[in-house]
Amino acid sequence: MTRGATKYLPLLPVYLIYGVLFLIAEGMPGVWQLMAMLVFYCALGQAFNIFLGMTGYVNFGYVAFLALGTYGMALSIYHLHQLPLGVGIVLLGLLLAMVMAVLLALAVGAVALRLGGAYFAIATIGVNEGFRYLIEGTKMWGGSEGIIFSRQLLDTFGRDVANKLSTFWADVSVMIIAALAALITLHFIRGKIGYALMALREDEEAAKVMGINVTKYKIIAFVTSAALAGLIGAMAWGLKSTHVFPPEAFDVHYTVEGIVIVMLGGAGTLLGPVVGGLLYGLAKYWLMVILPGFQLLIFAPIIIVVVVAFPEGIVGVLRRELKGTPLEAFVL
Amino acid sequence: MIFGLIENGFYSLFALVPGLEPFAMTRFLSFAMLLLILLIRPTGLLGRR
Repeated sequence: MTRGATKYLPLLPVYLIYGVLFLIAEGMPGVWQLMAMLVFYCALGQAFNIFLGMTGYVNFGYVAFLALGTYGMALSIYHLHQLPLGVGIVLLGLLLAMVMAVLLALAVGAVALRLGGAYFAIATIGVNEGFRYLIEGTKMWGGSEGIIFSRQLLDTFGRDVANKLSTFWADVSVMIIAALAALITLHFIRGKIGYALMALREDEEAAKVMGINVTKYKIIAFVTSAALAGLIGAMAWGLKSTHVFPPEAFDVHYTVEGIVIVMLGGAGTLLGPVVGGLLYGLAKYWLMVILPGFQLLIFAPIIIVVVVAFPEGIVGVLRRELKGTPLEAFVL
Repeated sequence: MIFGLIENGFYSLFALVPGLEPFAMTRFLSFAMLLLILLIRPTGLLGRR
């Protein structure tokens, strides 16, 4: 095998997991929604990991990017449904979702990334909540009532195609976005960006002294993570549910779930968020069935166990155990 | 006290502007103030620099 091909070996287990999930969901009746939930958590974890895992900064306002992505899709379909664009309206929605998320990331990054530690975390909570109240207060984009665009989707595509888009294609798109996030993560880890981010995660001051432009690399990671979140929000929330409602879209518990998934699986690793997403999603689903209403209780014990027992996460421990074995090349 | 005065004052101002929802805008203002404080003086008015 050439060096170039060997570089992509760690993607194999990630894509294998997504492939198996898809085949199980297609083959077994009644499992599709569970698969969709698991893929959403994997995608969320992978997108979040690009910033949290690689820089060590905790962005508590991450859900704002998902919300903006949802709004991007909603605005595209709601306002442009009368134009003869066909499926282009969904592609435009994706583009708008990404652009809106990136613009917010640039605006927030310019301000909040100057802060460190707890101040950064507090500032990002402020951005999320502030943006939500700005939308509600100025009554822009439907204000506190949000936007419902199911009628516009039906008018554009007809009942059968609209149904297929909202169910099958929205979930498959999230899987494609998750696969893209994995590729980007691998590119970051193996490239110059990865070394710079690793240095700033370990000791930001030392990295600056060594001549690394920490602000530039933080912004790159922040904006990339935000762009992926916008895409995920557009498909997993926007196109799937065909409505956007500010208190739901800006709900901070999705950010907390992202943190749990990344830490459980292994922050800064490639396979970690996938493993974390699967385990967290399955645990939550199982608890929803046996103890409905208490499924959110698993957040706290998971965080405590991970921080105390294995702070490097499951994949971090796995990498340690597999060091020196042939399987090491597949676990990153 | 300062925060309360600002919030109440601005609530009344926002209520006078047509097209704005005053409660939500006041909440937005409080988070905007938080960001400003974190950027300019994170230790607060009476805290050491």
